[in-house]
Amino acid sequence: MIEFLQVLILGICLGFVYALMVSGLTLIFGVMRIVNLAHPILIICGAFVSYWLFILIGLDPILSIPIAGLVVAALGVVIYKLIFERNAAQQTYSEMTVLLTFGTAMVIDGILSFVFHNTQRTTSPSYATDAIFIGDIFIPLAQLYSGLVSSVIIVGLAVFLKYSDFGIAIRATSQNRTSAELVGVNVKFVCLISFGIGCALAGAAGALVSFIFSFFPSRHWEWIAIMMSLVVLGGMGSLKGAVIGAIVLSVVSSMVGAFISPAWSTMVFFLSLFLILIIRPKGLFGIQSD
Amino acid sequence: MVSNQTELIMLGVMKILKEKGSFLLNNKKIIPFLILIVLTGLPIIQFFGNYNYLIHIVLFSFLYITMSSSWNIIGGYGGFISLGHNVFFGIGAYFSGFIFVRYGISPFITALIAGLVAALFGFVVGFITLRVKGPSYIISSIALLMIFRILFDRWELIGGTHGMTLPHNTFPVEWSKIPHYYALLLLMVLSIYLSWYIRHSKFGLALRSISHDEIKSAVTGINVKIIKVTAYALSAYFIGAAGAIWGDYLTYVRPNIFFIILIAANMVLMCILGGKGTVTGPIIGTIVMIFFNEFILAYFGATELNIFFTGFLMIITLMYFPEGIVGSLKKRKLLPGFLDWG
Amino acid sequence: MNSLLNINNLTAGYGYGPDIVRDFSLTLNKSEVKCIIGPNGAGKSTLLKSIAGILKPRSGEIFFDGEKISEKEAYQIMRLGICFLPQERAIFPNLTVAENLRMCAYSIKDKKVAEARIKEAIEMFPVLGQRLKQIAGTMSGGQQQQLVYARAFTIKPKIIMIDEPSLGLAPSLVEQTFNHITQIASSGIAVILVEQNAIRGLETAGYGVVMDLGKLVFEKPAKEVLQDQSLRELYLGKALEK
Repeated sequence: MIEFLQVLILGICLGFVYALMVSGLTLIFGVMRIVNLAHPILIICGAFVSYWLFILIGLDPILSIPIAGLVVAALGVVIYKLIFERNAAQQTYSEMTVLLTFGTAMVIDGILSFVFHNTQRTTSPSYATDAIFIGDIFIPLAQLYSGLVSSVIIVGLAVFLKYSDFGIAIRATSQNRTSAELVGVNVKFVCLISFGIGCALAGAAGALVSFIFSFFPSRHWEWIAIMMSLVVLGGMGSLKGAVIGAIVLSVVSSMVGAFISPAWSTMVFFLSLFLILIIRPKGLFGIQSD
Repeated sequence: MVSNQTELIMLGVMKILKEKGSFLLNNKKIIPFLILIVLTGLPIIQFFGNYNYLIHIVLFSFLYITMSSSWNIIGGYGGFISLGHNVFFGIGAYFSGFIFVRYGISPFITALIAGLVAALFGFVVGFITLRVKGPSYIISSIALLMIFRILFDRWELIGGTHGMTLPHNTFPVEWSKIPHYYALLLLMVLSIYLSWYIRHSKFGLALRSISHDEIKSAVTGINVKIIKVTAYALSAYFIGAAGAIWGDYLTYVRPNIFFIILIAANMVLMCILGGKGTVTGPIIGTIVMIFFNEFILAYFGATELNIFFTGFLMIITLMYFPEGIVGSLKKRKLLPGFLDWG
Repeated sequence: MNSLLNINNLTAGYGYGPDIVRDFSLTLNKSEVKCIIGPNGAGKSTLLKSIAGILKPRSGEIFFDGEKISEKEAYQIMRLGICFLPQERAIFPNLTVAENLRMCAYSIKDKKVAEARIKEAIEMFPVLGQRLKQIAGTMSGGQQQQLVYARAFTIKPKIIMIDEPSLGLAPSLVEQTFNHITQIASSGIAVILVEQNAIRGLETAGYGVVMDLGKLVFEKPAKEVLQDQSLRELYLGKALEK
């Protein structure tokens, strides 16, 4: 029972981190219908920013979240301007846009691999190896902190989307681009900013990832499918769905890892993606692409 | 002075080409036939020295032309962009490799059966994944690849992450590649023929209409499901067979060689670069890509940059000429007839 | 050039397709109501779309209050004071009514003004006030229609363009809709109306503009159009016989 509770808590903490990892992905999809396969590599970019800040000036990864977010957001805006802006206007050709993001992921992967090589890295702040005990339940601080920080960021994002004018404009644009334009929303600007926010979220997630997982540039291929399974379960384009999907799958995969075999825990994500395909043949996404 | 001379020669060549060449260039059969004869006779050069590198590059091109032509059946004609198509490559390699290691039957004998296994498997997977289109399909194809990577990494019977080592053949070094050369040449010719045949058949017409609009196709009486899944299985067949030969060529079969997304990315890129949905597009795209890759390897050496350049080329192609080389030339009516197979 | 809207020799079309609107010119004065009628495919909706900036004109110019708007983005044109209500219901079905109203007032920079305008609109359509928390898409057709027209009173544009307001509506709703339009017109907003139900449209309008094959056929006071027997046969729904 105690072991079960412990795995459950760890799964939930990790689930929030996963939710943060996919929140940007689902936001970008909602507004622009771009399935951004480059999102995981952007998370790794964020992780590298935190890693070097930690190594060079000893900055705590949690404190480096804003910097990682800003750096990755800037990178994202550049990518958007160079590659996606002309495609974002026309929502057709979405398959080609997916391949464009795929190409972008390869480009960034290539650069990172070339510069830093594919060695496993992780930041090790003082709490990375610590843990607290609640009764007999043992909770590693790294997971606890990252889960808490993630949930704070996600709540902040949700509040922003729910109550601010710009947030409502983002949601309106994702529902109907033309209608939004007709009430005076500068849709191109909204797209740019949403992409930037999405990438900032990736960067923030990267800072947390840097001390709870070990990371290396090519790892993002594995994350692509994992992250897709999370958003697809909850319905792509919806933040609430992404959080629920992330927590459910994270808990299930932690359970599989703890009680069956760690080797099979990632399989949970991929299999769930396939199961959803079988159950919901209309498409993986809550919002239809066209 | 020199430039003047070259200019004159160029003009002369152009003149001859214009007079005699246009027939040659526009005849659909002569040039491909000549190329085929040259390729069949190419290994003779091994009598005059060790041209292993050249043989390697050519047979590597055969491999990828086979794969990108096959990918084109479902990705180009059918419109299902699969980023996990090398699953079939791996399945073929593992099937034949396993039989070779266990029972000593050479992959050259089992390659066509390996293709069948891959196709059969494609049939089953197709029934599940081809229900969705567009981005959903792309993602499910990546997930398929990931599932296989994990499965084969964990499957101890076939060696887990270390895979299997296959026995070498006993030929002298300059001849050791020749069986693979001819096997892959044969597979390439067959796969191009299949692609050409589908392009001009009623089946291919149905497939292309499905890629435009599934519902309208269904209304005209096309059995959408069967056509899609059959096309998927057909596109898996030669990839599986090529995988079997490739496993034997490498003399080892390992998940991190066969189940990596870069192979699928290459297939997709070669096909799009050449022009997806055309018969000759994947061939041209593959040749250009392989030259490009060799160039990059020669100048930059590092393999990490390879993925960078592949991605870069993909972005440039998609942004500036999404119809690919053959498609763009055809649109401007500049495509020589011998490349215009539909 | 004192009129509110000037369309000079406008030509427009989609993608690589043929011209849908050809060499079309029209002026609209302050508080004028013009109803554009014509057969299917005459280019009426295309005309409105190119005025609104959703579709970029191929040639010709559009001036609003003396300012050239034919090269501006749709949101800029809207902010200048041209509100366009397209055929498909122009609400955000997954947002709440309150959020929809906030979106209506999005272009108003002054928060206090925006709030006051929303209040005004709610007073005009009390049903909306009772349902502020409801998801807009779950309201009845009539209520959604009210939400659409609330936009006119929130934004207070100088021109409102309405594309096929009665399309696909139940007869009782058609009546309600035309009441809204009359209400808008009487508040001093100029209206361009495109309507299949030509007689009903002309009854609301001051001028009738007949459009066919992308071109302006003629423009007359609405009453004359309604009375003209040959026109009735040609454009107001009676079968064409010769």
